[in-house]
Amino acid sequence: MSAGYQFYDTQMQRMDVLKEGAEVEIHVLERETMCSKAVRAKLSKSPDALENAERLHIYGRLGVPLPDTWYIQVLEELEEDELVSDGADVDHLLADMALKPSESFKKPRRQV
Amino acid sequence: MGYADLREYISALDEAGELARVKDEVDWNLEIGAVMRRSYEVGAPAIHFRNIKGYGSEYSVLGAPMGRGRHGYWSRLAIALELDPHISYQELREEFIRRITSPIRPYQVSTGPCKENVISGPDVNLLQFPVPYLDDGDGGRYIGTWATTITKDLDSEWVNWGVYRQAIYSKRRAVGLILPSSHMGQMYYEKYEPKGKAMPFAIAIGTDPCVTIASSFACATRANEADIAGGLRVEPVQLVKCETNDLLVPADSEIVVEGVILPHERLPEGPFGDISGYRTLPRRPRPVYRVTCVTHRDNPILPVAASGGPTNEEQILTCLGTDAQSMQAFAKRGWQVSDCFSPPWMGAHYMAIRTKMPYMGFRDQLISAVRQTTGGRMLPVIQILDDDVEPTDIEMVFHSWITKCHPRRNIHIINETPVLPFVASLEASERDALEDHNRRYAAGSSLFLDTTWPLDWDPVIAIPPRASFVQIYPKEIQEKVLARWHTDYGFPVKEKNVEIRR
Repeated sequence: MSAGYQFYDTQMQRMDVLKEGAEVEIHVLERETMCSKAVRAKLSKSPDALENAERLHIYGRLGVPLPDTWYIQVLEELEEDELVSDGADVDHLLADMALKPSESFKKPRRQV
Repeated sequence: MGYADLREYISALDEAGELARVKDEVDWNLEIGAVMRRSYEVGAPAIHFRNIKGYGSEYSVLGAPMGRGRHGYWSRLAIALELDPHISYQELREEFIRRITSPIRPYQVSTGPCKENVISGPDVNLLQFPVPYLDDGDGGRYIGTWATTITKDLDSEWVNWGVYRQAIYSKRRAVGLILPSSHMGQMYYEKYEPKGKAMPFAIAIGTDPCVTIASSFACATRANEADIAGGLRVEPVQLVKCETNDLLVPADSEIVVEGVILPHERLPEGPFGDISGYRTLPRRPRPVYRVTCVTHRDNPILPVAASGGPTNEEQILTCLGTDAQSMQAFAKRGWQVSDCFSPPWMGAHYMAIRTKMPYMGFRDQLISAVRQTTGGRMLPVIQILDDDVEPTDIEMVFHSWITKCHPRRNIHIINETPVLPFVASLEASERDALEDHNRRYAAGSSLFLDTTWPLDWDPVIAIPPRASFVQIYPKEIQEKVLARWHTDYGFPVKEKNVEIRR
């Protein structure tokens, strides 16, 4: 399989988020590891319109590959708040976490 | 009695000709999944992948650990229970019932093989294991496919063991489907989440097979699967405490993943193949497993089941569990029901029940009894057969359906019943409702087919006699024809066995 990313059309992330030249925050599957990532990225149907363009493979919500050809330039990887535990402080951690909602898409982790 | 661990089970599979050892390099990205899928379809052995691209020789994958066997659909399950792999389905089910009704309590030990390596906090990386990306279009790499997810009720001592899928989201995070109707779903959506509490979990991957069997089928609510696993292996399960929470896990586990599921936290998950044989549930936000610690044996073996196309572990075990519970329900009521059968390749969508109708209305009682069991409560299609039709003879079952089922009289549709959201024929809105814990999962319809002759039909003048070799000829003629079949008439020797009516 070629490298790049996979994008899934879903109820919370519809196909119409894919706009020529648009800068978007989306969830993708990185093909190298097949793990999910939340990224801020620029999209185009032409690889020449982007720096370091990589193929963005489009899938329907049930995992059916769609013929649409898109390219992606990942500008920034976004990461949720990280859980840090050495196993010694778990009770305290659990109590804290129980009150803490997810901060998905809020914290930039590193620039690409 | 009972295998000490997954490794002893692998050796038993090997001895029975139910294991292929693959030493050549294979890719975790789709290749392992494709091999497993083909194995399920043709009834090939389980596969021990020993050399996985990008991973060292200390890691391996056991594919299709209890899928459709070489010696029959249930042969690997029989081996797991230390029975003859050629055992009949009915005998297997009877032994299964005997063992699950003789539970044996587990006991705690101070340590075990699963503690040979302990990795916690920032050092955790779920990608250290060669978790395969199974099918093209899957929503990720699923680490929990043939594993026991352990959670404890918030305000009681009830501990649930179940098989719940989990995809790796990132190094220390997984995301998975937790249906509201499942036991874990009841704990999370009805207890932990409304109270803003984090739910501790442990995922025990690669245990003695009886642990996974007990976790796979829908036991009664608040049943203790650890006790049932002991009954199945005829020996208690040894448990050891987790490193970062108070849950107990099987000490022989190859890998244990520990952590918490926070309230209201969701990330996109799916799609993934399911019991129906399709990918029915769309990608959508689902609960997040935050991993605090991973422990594992040296040279850990990751067992993987590829849910989806038949015939895989989930289908085999779910159907056996439902049949066993239904036969128990019939026996408890003193009913003379000869047999029931849920063909695993029909993805837990269907059950056939064979009985002699004692009185009008009995069929409704039968359906009700099945739907009161944990496994049968969500069955979409149930068919009642006359006593002369063997439910495992699918040709005859289908013949009954087509020939005896009067469209006006014998087809019954029950609306607003709970069904599995995996039922492929559901509309998208029905499926969404079944996954929405606020809607209490009663949104489907089920079908009940009565393919028995009406009791008020006169057996001499109204019920058509079956025009078959064994039913329409005198015994003497049948014996004479069979005796002369090869020698005098010259027919080939090999053919389907024919039983003479006695």
